[in-house]
Amino acid sequence: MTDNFATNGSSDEFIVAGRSASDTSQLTAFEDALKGISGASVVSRGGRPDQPHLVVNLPLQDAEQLKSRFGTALIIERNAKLSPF
Amino acid sequence: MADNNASDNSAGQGKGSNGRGNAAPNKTDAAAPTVEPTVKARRSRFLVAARPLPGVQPMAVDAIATTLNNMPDVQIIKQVKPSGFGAFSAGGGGGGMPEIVVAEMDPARGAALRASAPPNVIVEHDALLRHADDLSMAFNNAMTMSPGIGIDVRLRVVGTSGQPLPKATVYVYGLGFPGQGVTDDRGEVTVTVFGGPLETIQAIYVKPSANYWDRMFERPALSDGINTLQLQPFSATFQGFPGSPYVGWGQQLMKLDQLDPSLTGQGVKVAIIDSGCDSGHPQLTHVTRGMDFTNNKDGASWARDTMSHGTHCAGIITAATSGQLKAVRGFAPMAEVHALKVFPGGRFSDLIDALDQCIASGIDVVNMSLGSSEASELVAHKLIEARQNGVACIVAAGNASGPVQFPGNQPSVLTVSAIGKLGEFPDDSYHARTVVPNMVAGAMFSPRFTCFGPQIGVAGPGVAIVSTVPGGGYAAWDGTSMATPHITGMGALLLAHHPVFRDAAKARNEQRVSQLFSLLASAGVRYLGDPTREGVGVPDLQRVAGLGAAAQSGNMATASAAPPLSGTMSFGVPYQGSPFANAYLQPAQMIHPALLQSFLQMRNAGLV
Repeated sequence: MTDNFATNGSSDEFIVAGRSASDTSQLTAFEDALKGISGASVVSRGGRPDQPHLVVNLPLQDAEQLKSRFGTALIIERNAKLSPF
Repeated sequence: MADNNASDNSAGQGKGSNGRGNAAPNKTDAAAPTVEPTVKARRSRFLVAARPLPGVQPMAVDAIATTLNNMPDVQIIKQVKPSGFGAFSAGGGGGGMPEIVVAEMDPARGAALRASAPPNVIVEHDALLRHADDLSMAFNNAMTMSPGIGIDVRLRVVGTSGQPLPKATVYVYGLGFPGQGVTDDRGEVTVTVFGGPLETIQAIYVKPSANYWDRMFERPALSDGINTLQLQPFSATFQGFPGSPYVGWGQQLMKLDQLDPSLTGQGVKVAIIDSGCDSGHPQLTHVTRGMDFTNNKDGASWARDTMSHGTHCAGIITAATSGQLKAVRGFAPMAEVHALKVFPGGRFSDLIDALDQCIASGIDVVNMSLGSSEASELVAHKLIEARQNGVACIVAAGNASGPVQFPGNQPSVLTVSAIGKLGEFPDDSYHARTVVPNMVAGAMFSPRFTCFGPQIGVAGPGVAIVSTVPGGGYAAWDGTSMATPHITGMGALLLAHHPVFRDAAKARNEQRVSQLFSLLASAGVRYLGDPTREGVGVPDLQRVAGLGAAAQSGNMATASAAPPLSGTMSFGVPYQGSPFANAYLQPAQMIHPALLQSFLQMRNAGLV
């Protein structure tokens, strides 16, 4: 289910949102952290103004590190594809 | 085997007539007026010979040949005489090589011969030989390549009068990966398959673009030239289709055809999160609202449904009579339908956006014939938020033949499995292959594909469901995707017309969603006896107390009188294994809405 390949390995699409809707500072910090990761990019910004989320492309190994770092404040999960049944 | 049994069962259930002139064709019908010879089933070769047994006189080869010759469906191809040293002892009773008769016959005849053969006769399949040397190559231990060169299978797909059927998808199943192609304007396609000669082709499946039954050709007898495959039109099954009124078997099972025609779902907002909806279809022109989440929330491209899936679901929910077209009766033709497009390519983020749109635009009920093998915490939160805002999400269980998939496994939604009915599809269609013999109860069956588990709330009709497809046509499809819109459509009717949703109960909140799900469950009729495969059963509109009274007073926007309080009720036994809050194992008994509401209030207060 890997969608893209970055130079340092496979990457995938992730959706990121705050566990607390009122606190968006962690989402900003996450976006700042992305800037230092090769192959990472913001695909889109979505959600309601009071519930923003980011869709990002991330190398898989970096995704795990970011989950460790931001996991208590942010939900970071694979933006998996849906299937019609 | 499942298909053969299904055919037998359906014949036993009075196949061919369902009391409304919607006769499902049998094999004889399907083969009737043939303009071009269509592909027939391939026969098998068998080897028949005397078995040398000590002390037993071997059967003479002439006797074997005479016996086979007397069978009209058996053709002797050749006789193989022994040679070499073994030949000298043959016939001498010394256990040498006997003479062999090679005969061609139907596989069933061969199996019967083998089963009934006396001890001194050998009957065995003359199987195709394979390469003894291993020429296959492994790539990363994931894929093997079959030896041999590709063979082209040339096919022409036609209707009963020989007219070509373009845009039919053809799958050819051989020894390796199946080949696939789409017919051109002449109805022709060439499909290349690898792994063996034409005799190794196991099956050909033809899925027409519209207006015909699909067909499975097993063990087809193919030639090097063009092979003609004939399909049966819906009009041969449903008289006057699509000009005459037609009510699908699923709508009949749920008693939509017995509902007061004034109940149309007017005033209710329904969203279909799917592949869009072709509002150019004559029966769907009233679908005018939508958004394309695959295209920056575009306000027009939702009407381009390249997958047909959303249009098919939309027809079940809301198809309306249009001029000469009355082919599909939707549950709620006057509902305000919003087509929220997330396919192709939809992801969790698109689903979250679509659900946000439902909350923002005050959608009452959402059809979600979709899911994923993965789970999402964010989607789960959004579904809870939707429910708290009075948005009832009705979700397909999935077609993976296993546990209910996400988000159907979430407690905030009503999850729908699929159920089928024998006699509602041709024996040689793919629909017949969804039947599993040990999951048949009377005329009803649990199809092999449906997901199952304690999360199943209700079941919906989901095999051979005829509904709208882009381009103005119709197609018969299987899936929990097709079962779900039956429930969504009924939910829209209840929200629009049932007295329980009047006045204060119209407030958009979690309680209203619970009431809707409870009302649907209270009308369930169980056919299979297995709650993990059908929940509380298939909802029946005639079992919903109070709906008949609503018909006399119009929809709930204008209704002024509550239905009379009468009759007795029983709550049945709550099904403990289901997260669906108010599911009952005895749904056949009617629950008066007022009492139901009181019960729910007590339940919410923790008193029951």
